[in-house]
Amino acid sequence: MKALSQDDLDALQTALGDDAGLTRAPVEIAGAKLDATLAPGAEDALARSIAALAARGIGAVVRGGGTRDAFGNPAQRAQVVLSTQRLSGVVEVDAEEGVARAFAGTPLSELREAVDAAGWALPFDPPGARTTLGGTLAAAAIGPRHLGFGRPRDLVLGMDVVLGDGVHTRCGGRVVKNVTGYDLMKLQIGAHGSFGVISAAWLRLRPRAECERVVAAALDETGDAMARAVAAARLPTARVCALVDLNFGFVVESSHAPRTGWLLIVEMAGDEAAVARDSDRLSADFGAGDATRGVIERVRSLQGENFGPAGLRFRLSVLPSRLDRVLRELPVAGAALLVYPGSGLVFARIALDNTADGIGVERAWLAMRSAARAGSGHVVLEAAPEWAKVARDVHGQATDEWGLARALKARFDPAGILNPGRFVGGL
Amino acid sequence: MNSLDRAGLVLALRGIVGDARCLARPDQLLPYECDALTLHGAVPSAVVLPRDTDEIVRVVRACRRFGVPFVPRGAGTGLSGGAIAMEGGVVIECSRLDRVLHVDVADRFAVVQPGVVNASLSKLVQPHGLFYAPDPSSQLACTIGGNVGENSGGPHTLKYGTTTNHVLAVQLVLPVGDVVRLGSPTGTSSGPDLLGAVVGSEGTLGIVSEVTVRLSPIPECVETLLAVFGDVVSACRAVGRVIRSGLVPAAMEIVDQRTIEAVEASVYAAGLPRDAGAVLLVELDGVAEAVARQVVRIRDAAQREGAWRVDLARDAAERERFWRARKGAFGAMGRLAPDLYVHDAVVPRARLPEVLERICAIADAHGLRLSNVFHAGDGNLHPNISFDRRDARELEHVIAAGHEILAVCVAAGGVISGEHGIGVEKREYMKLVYSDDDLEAMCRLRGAFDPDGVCNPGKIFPTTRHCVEANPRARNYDRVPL
Repeated sequence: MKALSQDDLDALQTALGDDAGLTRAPVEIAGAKLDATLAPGAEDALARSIAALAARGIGAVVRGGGTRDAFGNPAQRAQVVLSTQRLSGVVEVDAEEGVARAFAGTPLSELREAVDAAGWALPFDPPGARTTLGGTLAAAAIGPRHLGFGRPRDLVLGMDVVLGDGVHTRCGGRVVKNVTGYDLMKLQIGAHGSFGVISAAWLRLRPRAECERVVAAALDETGDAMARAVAAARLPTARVCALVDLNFGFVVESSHAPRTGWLLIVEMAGDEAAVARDSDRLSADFGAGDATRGVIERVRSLQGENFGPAGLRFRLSVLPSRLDRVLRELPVAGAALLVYPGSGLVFARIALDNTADGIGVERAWLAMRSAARAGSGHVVLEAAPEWAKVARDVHGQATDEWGLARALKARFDPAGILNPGRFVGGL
Repeated sequence: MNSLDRAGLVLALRGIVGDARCLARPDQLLPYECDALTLHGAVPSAVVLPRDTDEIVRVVRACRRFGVPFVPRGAGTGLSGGAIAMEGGVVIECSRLDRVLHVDVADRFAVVQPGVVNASLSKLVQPHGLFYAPDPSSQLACTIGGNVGENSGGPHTLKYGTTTNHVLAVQLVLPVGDVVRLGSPTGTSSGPDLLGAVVGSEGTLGIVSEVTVRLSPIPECVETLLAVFGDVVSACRAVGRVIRSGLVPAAMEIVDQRTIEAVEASVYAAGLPRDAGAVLLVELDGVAEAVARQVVRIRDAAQREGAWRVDLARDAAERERFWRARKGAFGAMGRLAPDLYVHDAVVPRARLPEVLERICAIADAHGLRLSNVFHAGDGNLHPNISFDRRDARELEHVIAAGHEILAVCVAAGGVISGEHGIGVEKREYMKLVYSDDDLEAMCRLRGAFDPDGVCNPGKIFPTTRHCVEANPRARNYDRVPL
């Protein structure tokens, strides 16, 4: 790909209208060698930047905190990074309403601090220390507490989005119930910036829990272990329910590490009496006892980790009742598993024997595909080195959504400049 | 369309669904002139009642061949005119698609055809300890397919969310006649969340032919409180107090004094004090221990805002009586005047007191009879105007007051519809909330699904700024004033 010309850079600089926003230094992301980074500091500068990129046909890798660079198909035709990091700040936390608005580049940690101070809970907890609000929404990223908090699609009330031709649009609002026009928020959530760049959002907050308690237990593999774990996840106050496999049980919780089977971790939150009742039940059914401090943080890190740069991390989404069948299909050796039984999510990490092990990648895909089939669900490759993404689309098997996604891409990003190549079907 | 073309269309439709399920006589078409919003009306060219997805596909393709638009319709209980064939064409009524195809108790979902009646699904799965959470007021009649179109809510959306939070997948007949599946019973799909865009799209992106919905566990304990206030503003303040405290009841509904009067004078009489300014109905559900403590908190919040008294329903019969005050409100208002305009807007809950005061002032200024019965917990107002449409002057005031009410709600940080949708009713008011660019972004979505603008045209978008792509007829004259 031809390098950016001075003329291109001048145009981008003009669009930014801000000396600090343009960094001319090579960066490599998603297998693409990029010449410069654009970091607009305001929404109008973001809109002008995208319009300038579209006018010149310059592809951009859209980036928040950079915690999910490893996701997506290899970038094509991209020459710059479009960073939301300077588009940052909490605009408002409305403690009366339990809603908040922040710019996309706001780190979740900063937003959480502001929300906590207002007496509410921020219902997003994906892994990644530098994760931004925009990145969380664009990736529809969840963390262990999604069981209790809900998923990003259920938590966004309104959004500002700059479309691929630089048009700044708003959808939704700040109120908790709204059917005024199409729900364009959900179209953007999980679209990885392919249909527009999220610049700000209104969020629904959750009440701060009166009481929280985390327990852990060893769960043997005999009988209906998965069904029992699903039942634990369905306890009224369960906010986290995670199963960690034998190999990593000791990392997460050394005091309850199982000798066989799984480590079960349940975080309960809510009314004190209700939490007490659920923990009694877990104690009776599983022999669960209080977990050590920080165990949920360790589960979260595990969810986002890889076995080094050559590791693969798959995410399966299956029906909870089929989890036992799903897990039987997964290779016992080499895959480290984290399961959220309540939502049927399985994170499987695989270490490859050597770099550029194409056969190992293909073998992993086959196992994951048959596991997903056994669970009536699907699988995506969440993180992998770029060379491992060449043979197959990381989003797994094509669905009917993919065909419509093409028609949407043509309308929401007509010049094809936002994260080109990275979304479903190489959009 | 001319009569020759229409005859050909009807013949083609009869070839697909048979004579009995294709309505074309004027007396058969008249009931389809409007839905529950009676202010607007248009008679369709024909109505078909398909029985399976394949018939929908063939009907859609026949419409395409004859160049006529088509409009999906559930039970016709919609309040924004979404099921009216504004530009003529064929109404595709889904009431015959009324089978529950599969109930998965273990994974808590059900696959239903779009014509399944909302309340009947909950009844069916009740023996399994499950229910379908969205409960619009019309739930005894309205269909799941219609609920998907409108993203319907109901009193219990405060805790449980609206339809969009409970739909896992749909089968959709696209306006080009192809069938797609969006979403997955697992709750996530490997592509963009197009399901989320389809729910609430008011039947403009295709015809939903199958719906997979989430089922929720029936809570072990339910308590219902009725707090009586001297005025509606105090009741609103009590709601604000509860929201601020972080407590999320299953429902928080307010019935104002004029509604109480109407209810008490009707067959729905619930024994409410007629001199009360408002009643606040609060339902709590969940774990028994927690609910017991929440009852105390609700009592406290109500008393701090000056409640005259707070009653806790002692049994199911009393709970039913409390709810009668809320659910019988619309029926009772039928006694006040021949027509009722049910408005629907949402404001931040903390703004409820001032917004309500302004709404009442607007109605007074127009000399209209306004009553309020609404989902206070969500900030979802339903200002109801009782009127007589035969009085042209009064009708003018109704329309003008409606516009002013919506403008007040938007100015308070709100929106113009919380659960009824935009349809025909509010399309001209979309500009109160959205800029041209915002609306144009919605047109892009529309265009990806329905490039020729043949699926339920004339809805959502203001006529003063037609969606050029979504409505080809608007090309070249997209700035025609009303």
